[in-house]
Amino acid sequence: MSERRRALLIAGAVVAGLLLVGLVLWLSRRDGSTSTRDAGGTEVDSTGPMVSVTLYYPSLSDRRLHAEERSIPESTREEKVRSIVAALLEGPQSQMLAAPLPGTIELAGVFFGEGGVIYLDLRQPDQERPPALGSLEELLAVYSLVDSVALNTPGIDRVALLWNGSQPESFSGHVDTARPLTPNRKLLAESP
Amino acid sequence: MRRFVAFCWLACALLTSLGAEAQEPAPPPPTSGLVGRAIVGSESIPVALQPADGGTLFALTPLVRRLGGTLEQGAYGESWELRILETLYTFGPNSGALLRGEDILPLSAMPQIGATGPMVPLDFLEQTFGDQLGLQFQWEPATATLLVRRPISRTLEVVPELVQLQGTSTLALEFSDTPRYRIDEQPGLIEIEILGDRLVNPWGDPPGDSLVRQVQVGEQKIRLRLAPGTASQHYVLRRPFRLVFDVYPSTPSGRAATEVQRIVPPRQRQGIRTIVIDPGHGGSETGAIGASGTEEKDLTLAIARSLARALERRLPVKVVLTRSEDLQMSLDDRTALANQNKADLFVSLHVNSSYGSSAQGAETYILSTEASDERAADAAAAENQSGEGDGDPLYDLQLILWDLSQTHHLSESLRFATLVQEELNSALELRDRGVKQAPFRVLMGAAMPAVLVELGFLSNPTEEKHLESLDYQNQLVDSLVRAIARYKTLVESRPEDRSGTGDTP
Ligand SMILES: [Zn+2]
Repeated sequence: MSERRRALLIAGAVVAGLLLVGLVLWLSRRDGSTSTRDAGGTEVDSTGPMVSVTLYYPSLSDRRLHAEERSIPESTREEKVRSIVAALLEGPQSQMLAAPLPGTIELAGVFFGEGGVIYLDLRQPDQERPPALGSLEELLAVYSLVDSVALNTPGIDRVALLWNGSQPESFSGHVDTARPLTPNRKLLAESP
Repeated sequence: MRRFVAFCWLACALLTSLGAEAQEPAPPPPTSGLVGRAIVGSESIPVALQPADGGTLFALTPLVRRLGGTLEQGAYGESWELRILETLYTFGPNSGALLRGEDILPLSAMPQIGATGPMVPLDFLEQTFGDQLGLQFQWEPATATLLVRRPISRTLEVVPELVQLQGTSTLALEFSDTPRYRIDEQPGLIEIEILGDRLVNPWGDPPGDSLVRQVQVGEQKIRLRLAPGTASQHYVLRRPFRLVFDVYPSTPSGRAATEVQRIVPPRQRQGIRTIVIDPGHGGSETGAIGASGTEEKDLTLAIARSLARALERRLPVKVVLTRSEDLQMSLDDRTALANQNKADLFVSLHVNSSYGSSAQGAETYILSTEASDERAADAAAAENQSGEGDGDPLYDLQLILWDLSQTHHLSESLRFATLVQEELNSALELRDRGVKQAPFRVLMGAAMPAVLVELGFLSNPTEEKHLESLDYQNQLVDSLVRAIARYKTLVESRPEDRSGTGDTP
């Protein structure tokens, strides 16, 4: 092989490497910005300070909630809770996990009550009742919301789930939602 | 934060182990046939040994068999689970971490999986059996002997409290730490023998009453002398650990038919006579929906109807269905119906659904302890707010008794659920995943043993097909009838309706 040919090969490899690094960086930046949408799903300004939260999604293969990290804009406590719920409903990044509830469900209201209780008022256009779920789905859906909100929000010990402004005895006929719920760590998978 | 620390710890352990592996030759392969012995009391049992980097490893299985506890492989991955009394330990091969709940206890050597199960280091034994049962382990390599001793090391404080309310005396023995004990009941006398520990009673013995004549706390034995013609039952409450005895006249005339009968555990239960079967969901509330459109509410109704017919045909029982047609009914109304009918057993039937399609099999649930505790706390808070209980010690006691009755039902529910799961496992050839606990609303407030059975997964297409077939439904019904028959025999063959929880042999 001639010196010239070798030099050309090396230069080519360096250029290809740089292109690859650039592509990876660009993709990861794009990835990062898609995970910071607000409740309405619109892109938010990710130039401000961000905070990291851990979201818990139901697994498709085991009967547990698995953690995924997200960066959300630093904001008020209510905005933080809204971002958490929006990200949960939008769905996980992993193919092995699922969104706890259909994405058409909206978070109508967030209320901070006494004694570390937060009230999340959920609704779905034209749906009088929450979605029909099996008990395992309901258990994971309820605690996906409860754990993700309570474990990321200092000062929040319990989460009450409302549907259309009232507290149902159960969302889908199994899990007791008639009272504020404390996080259930037993449902969390051992490692993220 | 704790999870993060745990994660870091595990990561460090993993890195260290990887590093060690890279620099040093691999540990020697398990030496087959190396056997030592463990001396437990006066007994000598053979225990397989394996040399390891951090010291000798001991076969866990024979020790569990001799010392108590359960050992099984975890549902996921390579982990193993050891349960001693109420504490669950998780560990696995090639990790120097022993998990106790969320706590991580470091081990001097990594457990290995040998031909007969897990092999564990000495400090594993100390941190599990040692902590839980107050045992001491001493390894003598020269003679390959593991000495297991029970020193009298702990001094437990016990505070006995005796109250009598409308014909029942309740004695609560509150311990400063979980004791190991054995209960010996004879007519007129109950003796609680404390195994290993020494008791002190800082407040002295309480004066007796008309049913519990004398309470005597000794260093290693507590004696209760009962009036003639009394019966008793006991249960355990935790945080703090309390051993509770209810003593009452054994003749019905000796008991006042009062409000208290409703809120304390049923003691004069004559057996299982009324069974309430609850077909889950109904009306516009469909429950889970299968891939090919099967609705949970229809399956549960069909199976409940056929279960009711089979039970009434095969057992001398009255069966009440919470709903016998396709209508919507609240969960609280379902338990209220069971309470109104003074049911002896409550069985809620459901069909499950999961996010993925792989989950399958039938599962039996009882109410989770946390949910039961939280509900009691909520009830107490609500009563306090309404001012009903203010300054009325009798009222507070009724709340405590309500709590006690829930504990009693929970232990009976577990007993029944275990039989249901056993029957389902053998009929459907399922791997035993045990009875599960969940905060299910329909199990709350039931004044009787109550279980929720998930008969299968509609989210699994194969299982959906099975569940629709009459043959499969009949198999499920048969299993449930057998479980109910076994439980009925069990309850009715007990001379007294005792819960028996907390008895450690
Ligand atoms: Zn159901």
